[in-house]
Amino acid sequence: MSEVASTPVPPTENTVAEPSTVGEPQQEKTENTTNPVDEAAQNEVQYSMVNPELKPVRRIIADDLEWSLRIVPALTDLALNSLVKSFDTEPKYNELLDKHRDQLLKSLSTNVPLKVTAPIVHDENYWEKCCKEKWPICDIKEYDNSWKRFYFEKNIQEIIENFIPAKTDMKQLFEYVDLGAQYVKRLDIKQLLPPVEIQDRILQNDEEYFDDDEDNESPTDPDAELKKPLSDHFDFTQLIKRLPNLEELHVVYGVKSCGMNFEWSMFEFTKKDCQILAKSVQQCKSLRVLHLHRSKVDDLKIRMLVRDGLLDHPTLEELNFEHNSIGDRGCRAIAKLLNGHSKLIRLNLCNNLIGPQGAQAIAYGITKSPTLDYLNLRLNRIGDAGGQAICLALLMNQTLHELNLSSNNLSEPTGNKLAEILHQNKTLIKVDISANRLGGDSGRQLQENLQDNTTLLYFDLRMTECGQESEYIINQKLKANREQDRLNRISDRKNHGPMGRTYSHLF
Amino acid sequence: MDLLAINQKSKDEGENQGPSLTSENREERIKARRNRVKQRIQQKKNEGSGGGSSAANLYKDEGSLAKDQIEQSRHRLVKLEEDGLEFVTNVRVGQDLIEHQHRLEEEEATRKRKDRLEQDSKSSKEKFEEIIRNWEGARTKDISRELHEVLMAQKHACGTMLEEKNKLIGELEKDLKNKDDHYVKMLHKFDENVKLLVERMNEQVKSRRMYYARELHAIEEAFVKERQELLDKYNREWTSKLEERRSKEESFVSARFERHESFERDLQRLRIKHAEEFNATKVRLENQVQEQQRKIEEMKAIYQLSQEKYEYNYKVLKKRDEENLLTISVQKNRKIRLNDLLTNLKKKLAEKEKSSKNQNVQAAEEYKRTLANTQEIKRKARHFLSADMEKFHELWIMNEERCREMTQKLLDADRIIFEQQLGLPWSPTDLEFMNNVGPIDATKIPKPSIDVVREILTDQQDENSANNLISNTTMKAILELLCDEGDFLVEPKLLALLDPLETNEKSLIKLDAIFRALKVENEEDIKVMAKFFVDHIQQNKDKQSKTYVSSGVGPEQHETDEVTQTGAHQITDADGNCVELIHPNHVLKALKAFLTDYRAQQKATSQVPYQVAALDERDDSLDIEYWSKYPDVIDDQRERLWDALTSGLQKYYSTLTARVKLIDDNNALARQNDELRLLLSKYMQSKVNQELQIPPSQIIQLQLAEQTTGNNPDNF
Repeated sequence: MSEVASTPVPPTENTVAEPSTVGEPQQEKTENTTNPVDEAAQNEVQYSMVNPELKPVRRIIADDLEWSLRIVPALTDLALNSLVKSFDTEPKYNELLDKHRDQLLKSLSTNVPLKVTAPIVHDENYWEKCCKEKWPICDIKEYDNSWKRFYFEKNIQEIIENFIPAKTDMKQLFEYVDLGAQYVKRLDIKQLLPPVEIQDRILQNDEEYFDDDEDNESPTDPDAELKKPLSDHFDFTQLIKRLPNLEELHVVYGVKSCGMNFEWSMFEFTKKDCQILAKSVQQCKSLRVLHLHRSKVDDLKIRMLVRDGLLDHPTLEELNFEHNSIGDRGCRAIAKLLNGHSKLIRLNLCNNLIGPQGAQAIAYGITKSPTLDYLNLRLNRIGDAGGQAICLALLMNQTLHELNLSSNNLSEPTGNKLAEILHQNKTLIKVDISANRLGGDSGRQLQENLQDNTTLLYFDLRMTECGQESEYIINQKLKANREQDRLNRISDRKNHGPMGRTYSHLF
Repeated sequence: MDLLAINQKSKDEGENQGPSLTSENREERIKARRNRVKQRIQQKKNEGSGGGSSAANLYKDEGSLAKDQIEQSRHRLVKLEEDGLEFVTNVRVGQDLIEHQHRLEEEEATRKRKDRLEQDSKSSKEKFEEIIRNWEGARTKDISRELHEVLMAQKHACGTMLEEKNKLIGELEKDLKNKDDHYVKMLHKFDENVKLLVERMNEQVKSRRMYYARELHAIEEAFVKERQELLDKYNREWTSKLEERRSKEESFVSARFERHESFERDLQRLRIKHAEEFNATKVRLENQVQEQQRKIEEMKAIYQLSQEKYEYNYKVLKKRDEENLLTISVQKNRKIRLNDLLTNLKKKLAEKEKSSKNQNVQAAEEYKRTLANTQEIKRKARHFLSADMEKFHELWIMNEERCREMTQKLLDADRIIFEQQLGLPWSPTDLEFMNNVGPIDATKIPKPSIDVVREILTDQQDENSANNLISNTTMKAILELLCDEGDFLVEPKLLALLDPLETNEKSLIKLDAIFRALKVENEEDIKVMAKFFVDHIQQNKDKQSKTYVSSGVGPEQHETDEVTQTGAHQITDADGNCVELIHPNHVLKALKAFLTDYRAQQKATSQVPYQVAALDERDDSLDIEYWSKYPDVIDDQRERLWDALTSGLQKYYSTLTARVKLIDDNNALARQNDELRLLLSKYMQSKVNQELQIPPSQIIQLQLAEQTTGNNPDNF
């Protein structure tokens, strides 16, 4: 009945207002009464958007034979339309039927404040629309295939990356964070901007700070005191408190694509930063992965970080300190983490300044760690002493599957040791010792000892000068191992039932 | 799974194609078995090495083109992939190596630089110290020229030092510049490397794409080819099978036609033969049919008859059956009823039994109760009886005494009358009966046996008791007999004691003992016992003569005969009765008989529960007589006398009484007279008479005087 009653209420007749419309639309109408034609046209356009069958010009004429009920918009359409219009102020979503919700979300604009949509809208299509509007390229595979998570994480990342300390308002960020806290699991922050004052100062007197890159603690430096409080980056503590589900944190204390405005101070990782980071990591009990690369982390800071933040962390599983300047002392601190003070599974110390002593500390840690699975020490300077220590540690360890020792100034003794170990170790799957000058003897030894090993699948021997023949034979053996492994995996999968069936084994 | 299914299928096909086990050819069978063994081994191997390889192996073995192709492609692609990866990473590794070497060089260079700087600083320090020292020397120099020389030398030294430093600085700056250049070069190199990397990656992508496409194509082709081959094979099979079928069908059709013809011929022949047979049998059968029809007619008639009979019988039987049914039902009803009755009766019986039992119990109780009651009543009755007896006795005595008193009084009165009034002598009447005290008992208490015996033995028996059938003498004889024969009943001690005694005394004591043993207590018993002794004799008598049968109290005239006949045992009593006693040898028998008889009798009497010696049974025949004696003390004569005397005395008495009356009147008048005299005197003498005007005394005297003068005054 109500539908029939509402049919003779066409948008052209300006006097009758929709019962459900509120506030602004009504005001607009009253304002537009001066120009009814425009208003009518506007309304028509609006309705045509909702209902494409609606003709722009529509009047009820008694004798009109062509008139039919089909061109009249359904009441539900009208209601939804008004709901869309008033969604900012009075969102109604959960009360609707499923089909109406879909329809509503289709016509809902992406400009509707997040405050309104975040708690009630869970439909992926809407969030996909929002994401695609904001970023042309979206890959949600890394985000559990959840558009909403993608949207929030990306947003928060962007805000943080463009955050200028002491200038940008924290409120805006926290608004976002509060809305999407439960969806955020990972923060991949690729840059952190330094405070703006220091930027200005740097711009003013660049010469003064030219070669003052690392020793900002030196008391001789007159501006150290001045610079110290200013050069701190974004404060994570408040943010992390608000993210209960955060599992991964990737941070780079540096500026991306600075171009010709390069300043050393843009890439500063201060003591205060370090303290804040350590504190926030300590607070975040759900954190699994911490990446902190290209941030000039030195021994002192890594020690501070380990001591205050990482030691005995309940959930931490992966640490990545690539491209920093961690030395032997810092390495010892990390090794302490391995000694049963954490559940580390993956450890990446690629491109640091680790020497033999650091490597020995790590080796000791390997023997004690019950969980470590992946260790990367590429581009360090551990030398033969460190290499041998690590090789010996592998005798004790039963968990390590991947080991990367490439470009570490290793030579024949380490190679021989490694050969001996590979004969006994049954857990290693992937070993990379490329770009080390091992020599032909080691190559031959490796070749002999690998004949009995069936577990090793990948063994990188490039640029080791261990002889073409050995390399070839080893590769053949590895290939056979891989083939066997593949068959095993296929049979495993088959045993697990038809659910996991794939045809990838054919290739 | 699909692959496995395909395997299965192809395997099945292979089996179909291959030599079969059921083939007739021996060699073929052997072959088939070998194949089977091979297949099984293969299967086992496949199972051992995993499912994937099994599939691959199977395909290989069966020459599956596509699988081969897939395996080849896979190998090729894996190789391509690995090579490509290596190819791309080679750049990185190379760069790593370069970096590594660069670092080594750098380390070396820094070390050298450090050494050099140290060396330099050392040498410059030495030089500086030398210069300082020279300054000390220069102070001592006073001569200006020398001083100048020294100064110049110092200046020179400083200059060289500075120069060296500058040189060092210059070298370092050069190094720095070189480093810068190197850095730029490195950047260029990196750029190149990156470009190379990108290029190689692109190449890889392109080539991979191409190879993948090619391999895909090849695999597809292989599949198509395989499919085509399979199709061809099946088609060939199909056509050959079709051909075979066609030829088989043709041969079958021709054979069928041949058979058809031969069958038709046979059919024709058989038809003719059968037709003939049919005709013959038809005629025969028709005859038989006629015969049978006739028989049927006959049978029908018989049937008709019997049917009717049976129907009648049937009806009769039905009737009977109905009747039977009726009776059966009636009987049934009756049976039911009777059963009901029976059950009812049984129930009743049970009830009755129950009730009677109850009643029995009740009655038993009642009986017990009544027994107790009767006992009680008897006890009471006895008590009352005794009380009554006592009362009666007392009453009797009281009455007797009163009577006696009255009689005495009467007699006294009589005597007084006789002696005083009549003056006659008085003779007292007989007053014997008044000596009696207590009620007169008519019954007699039996005498104890021992007394009887004593009496008999001493011949003191009074003649009153002689009315017995056994006389005293007979009794005595019997007792003596018993005394002689019944020694065994007496205690031997007693016998010894009795020896010195007199015969009479001895027998008395003996008999007493014997009677005590036999429990013979009184006279009656003795008499009964005596009868036994006599009876024997009478029986003997029966044999001898019928005349004496009746009794021992027979006529006296025969007594003598009896005595003579019975000999020694014949005793003649005092009255002359003759009784024959038994022979002493029979005494025991007689005693035995007496005892049995006597016991039975006693038992019978003892069984009578209780006999009350009631007053009713008392013999009151003598009472009337006794009591009438008291009034008879004064007889009629005397009574009449007394009557006459009474009338006389009464007359006398009345005269006497009249006299007494007159005497009394006289006395009373005299006394009255005295009193009146006294009064008159009193009045006369009183003082009042003087005080008064007219003294009453005067009046009275006047009156008296008048009276005495007039008439006699009234008596008041």
